[in-house]
Amino acid sequence: MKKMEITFILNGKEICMNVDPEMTLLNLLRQELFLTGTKEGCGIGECGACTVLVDGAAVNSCLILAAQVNGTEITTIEALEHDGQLDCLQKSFIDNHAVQCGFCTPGMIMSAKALLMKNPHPTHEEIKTALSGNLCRCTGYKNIITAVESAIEY
Amino acid sequence: MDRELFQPVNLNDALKYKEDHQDAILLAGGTDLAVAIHRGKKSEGNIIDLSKIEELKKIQIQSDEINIGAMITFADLLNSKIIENKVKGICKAAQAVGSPQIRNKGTVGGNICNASPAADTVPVLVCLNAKVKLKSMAGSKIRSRVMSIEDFIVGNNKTLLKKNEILTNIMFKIPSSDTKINFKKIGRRNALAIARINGACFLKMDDDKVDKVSLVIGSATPMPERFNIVENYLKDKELNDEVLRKAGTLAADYVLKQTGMRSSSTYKLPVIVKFTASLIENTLNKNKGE
Amino acid sequence: MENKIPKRKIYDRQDAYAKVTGKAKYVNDLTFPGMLYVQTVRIPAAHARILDIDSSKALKLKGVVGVYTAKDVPGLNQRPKDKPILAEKETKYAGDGVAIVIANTKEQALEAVRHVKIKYEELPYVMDPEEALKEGAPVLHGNSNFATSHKTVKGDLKKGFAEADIIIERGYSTQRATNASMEPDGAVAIPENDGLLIYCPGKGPFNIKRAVAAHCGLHENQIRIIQPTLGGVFGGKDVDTNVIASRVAMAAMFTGRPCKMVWSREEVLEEGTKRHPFKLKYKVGAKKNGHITAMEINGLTDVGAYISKSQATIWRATVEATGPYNIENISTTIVGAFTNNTVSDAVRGFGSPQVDFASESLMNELAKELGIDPLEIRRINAFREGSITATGQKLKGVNLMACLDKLEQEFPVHEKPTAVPKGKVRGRGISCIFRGEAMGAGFKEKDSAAVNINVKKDGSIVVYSGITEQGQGGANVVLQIISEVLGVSIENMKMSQLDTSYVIDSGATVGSRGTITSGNAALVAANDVKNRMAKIIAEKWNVDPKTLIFKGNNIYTEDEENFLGFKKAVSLCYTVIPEVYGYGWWSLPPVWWDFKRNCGETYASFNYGACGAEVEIDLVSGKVDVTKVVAVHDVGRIINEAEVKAQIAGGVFMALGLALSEEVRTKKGRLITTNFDKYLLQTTMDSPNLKAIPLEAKPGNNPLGVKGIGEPSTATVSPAVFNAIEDALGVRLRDLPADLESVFSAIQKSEKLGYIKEASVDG
Repeated sequence: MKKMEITFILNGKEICMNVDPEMTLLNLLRQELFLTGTKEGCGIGECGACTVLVDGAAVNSCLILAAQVNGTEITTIEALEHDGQLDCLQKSFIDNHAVQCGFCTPGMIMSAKALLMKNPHPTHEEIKTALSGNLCRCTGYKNIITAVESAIEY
Repeated sequence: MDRELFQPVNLNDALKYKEDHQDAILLAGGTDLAVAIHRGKKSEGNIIDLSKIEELKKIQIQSDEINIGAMITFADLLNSKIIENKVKGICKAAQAVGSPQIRNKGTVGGNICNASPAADTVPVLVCLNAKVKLKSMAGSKIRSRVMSIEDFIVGNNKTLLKKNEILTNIMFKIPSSDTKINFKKIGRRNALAIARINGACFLKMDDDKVDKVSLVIGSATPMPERFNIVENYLKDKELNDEVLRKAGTLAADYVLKQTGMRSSSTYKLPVIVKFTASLIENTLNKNKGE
Repeated sequence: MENKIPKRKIYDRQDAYAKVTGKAKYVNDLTFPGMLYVQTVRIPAAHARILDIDSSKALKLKGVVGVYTAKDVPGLNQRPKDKPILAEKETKYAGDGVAIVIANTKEQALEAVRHVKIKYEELPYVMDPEEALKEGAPVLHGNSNFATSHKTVKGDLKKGFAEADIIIERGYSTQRATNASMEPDGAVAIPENDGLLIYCPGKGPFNIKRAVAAHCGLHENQIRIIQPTLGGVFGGKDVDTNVIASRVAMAAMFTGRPCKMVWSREEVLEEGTKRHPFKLKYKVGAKKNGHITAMEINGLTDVGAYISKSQATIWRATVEATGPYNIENISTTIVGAFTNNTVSDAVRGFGSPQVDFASESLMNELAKELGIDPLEIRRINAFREGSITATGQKLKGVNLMACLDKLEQEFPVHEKPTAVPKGKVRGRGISCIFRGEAMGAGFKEKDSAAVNINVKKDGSIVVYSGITEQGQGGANVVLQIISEVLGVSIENMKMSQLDTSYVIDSGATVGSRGTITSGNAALVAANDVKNRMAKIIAEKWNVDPKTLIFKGNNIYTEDEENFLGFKKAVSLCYTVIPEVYGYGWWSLPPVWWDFKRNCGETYASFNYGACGAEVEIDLVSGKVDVTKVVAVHDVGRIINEAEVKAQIAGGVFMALGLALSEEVRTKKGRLITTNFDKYLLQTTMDSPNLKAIPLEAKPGNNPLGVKGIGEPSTATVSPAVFNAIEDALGVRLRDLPADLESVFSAIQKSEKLGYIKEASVDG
């Protein structure tokens, strides 16, 4: 494989590195950059556990090749806490009992983050739609939806 | 063996590379290739990543036509004022695709080239008589050809795209403002669903009678096609229950003719009768231009 | 001891911070210096004889360290009829592993798998348990595919049916489903001293320790299991984890390096265990007044390729098969048969959801035949205080009627749905259940758990519990109980990571037993600390230790004459004793089962539940949307309300998938449901309006008065949904799940019957 040089902004920092053409963004984050907050649940874009933001849009990092993020800005779950201050979504997820096993949580929060960045006051239906690509086996979604609804009050 | 990924920023470079590397795989949203890699299905050939070519990411009005760049994502369609104002029916189809994450990444061009019978945006585009522009480079000259999507897709996962070509644009005439457009889908769940059956309908009424109608039932035939037999039947008719039912029956008969009896026919054929009737009736009851 | 633990509404679980920030480490997040990657080699056939395994090509590939087969398994490879770590002579389903490859990177290991050349002969296979029991069917083990069976007999069936005014016979079936935890299974083994340290998420870390020791030919004290964060269990992460942990353990022994294996989702589905599919035939006799006189049940279930825990699963299904009803004359027989399918094992509910689906569908069918209201027929026959179960057990603390009453208040059982959109119909259905708590007499192990508390010199507290935190919030419940007894805030305490080298064996976290066992053990342990401290402090103050109050991070006498901060009190204790600690274990009251007479005290206690569901059916497509669910569950006493409700909600959603969309399917002996694109979990867009009601009626049979809530809500929903579909269409579906095809065919029947009007529909 011929490695390709890519440059992108990851959680506010510019990164320049050589990547294998077949490497997915998920593997780049987890294996090369040790950002393991992004999870792999299915590898084919059906569970949303690997959701990250590329230029502010929620995407499945398992469905994107690392090379494709060249020149973009990536945000992962690791960037949401600033100087010990949790993001309003993180606080709200804790307070509203929206976390159980936690495996879907980072992806769920990133999908919600993408929504709130574009639409700070979403309706119940808009929240459900924004989270519809993220599967959760523990919660039945109810508390997660409530957490996103409540996050704007923080 | 030494697979490389080429990331052009303009179309000419992409076309030139494709001409020189005809085995190269075109990467649009990337979703299919990433799944193939995950499943260990080794594909050969270099990869051309089209995601950095800005000229393929535009939605424009050109006289009476809308021109959609092949790299426009489903989310782009949903966010486009042009689409919202001129052909809102496309939005309903784009919204039906997978999940927000997939809508953010999947492209209209990729969806067409993938030629899945269950593709959600294809029925609407076929209803619109949309055409695709296919470009290639011979020497330093750019060649392009245009054909309808209906002609372009020739089977499950099969298109007429040549090895040196790239699908660059999708074009269609802006439907008249009194055309009603609708899309409908049956899936096993309300998100992340593959269409069990989907369909699009365009309807223009002359008082109570059908003036113009386009109908496509998707995930039913091997390739997307207009259901001419139903359209012809509906022309100049009033849309009462009996007519709608007959339209449904004709659609189901046509599907049976195209596919023969399959294990899925027990479900699909009687559902298509109802689905078609309901799709047309829904379209009729829609507000104009929606 | 009585339960003075107040109900807690707030939610402050300690693992939440790490989980919302992505800092929580799951098994796949762990890497160690020099770590190798292990992959499994399988044969793409349902049943095959292994002729030769040639690993020479694979071994020549870059990065490949080793290839090992069944012959290399250091200890016991296989118990009779059970799953081998690696199949030696024959594979019995397409998921069976036949070799492992070890390489420097995962990519290299995956590549090497493709180069291990296996010569094999495909053998005839059987995928249907009925076919499997027929003469001439390909036999998997011994000389027949009969795996196991259980029976219960009560009264005189003949007499019971003779007394009946009406007898109906119905058949039901349930599908193969799976736990579908979001986290795929995996393990990392690291050579340590003369043994192995294994990081692996499993619901039974002590079972894993024993399994690995046996398979690797080591002693239990040479194996140390540490639990990373667990990404969901729901019945899984047990047998599969034993296999994975044993494979990485042998890899680590051979290479002397850390070895990791994490299954892809495809591997989880291909090799991993599933829920038992059941076929159940019910014959029920009743008086005109609705009183049931006799019930005869014959069931057959698909055990899959190996026995695993089928014995116990089928036992639970058998003893609960009648539903929560007082019936004089009963005979139940359920048989398990081997097939070349994936191995059937525990999935949330462990045999109950299958029989509850059948018996609760049956109750509505009987009600319809008799013209009695479905709620009324349940009340007529419902277990009451002192009722005798099918196994001859006299029931105490029965809360079924309270659940039904609450359901009637909260769910409009008798009202017809209104405001139905054109092209749709709506219906409502109910169900109720009883469920044995914890392991029960179907298992031989003592049903107990232990908690240790260590109060450090600075007054901070470390708690060790053998019950695993797998997402349910069990760790927090333990901390909460200790916090209340010692009067110290939860922030002052920490739950230690579960490490089998110093945490007491508490069995597996299964059977909804977590809070019952570890909660009561925590109560004992906390009182042990309290008594130990009180004795020392009371001596100093010259008062009766019993009069001391532990509250608000302080210890004082009732008159507040004597007063000491908790921290200072701990310092004082350390001047007298070398360690301020507490130990507590708690065991469920004994149960028994007579395998010859098929009777016994099956469970120490039971919980009850009732559910109402409303469905909206699209008449064009057959798509069912569940619009409303009310789930009432007898929880004894609530410790943490948020967590109890969350358990109910999660169970309801899992059951909605079971009712509507989840199914693992095969074609020609091979799995076609290979990932989440085919195995369809419910999404946010499928979510009904859910009201989860934890009901506090008579307390449970333990000091805390708690009952288990992990599984019951998974059992009530599917029959309620099917009863609602029948209410809407007038046509009964008897096979799970209610997919597009089966519901549409019911719509067609309904139209023919004139129950619903065939109309041009505006969906």
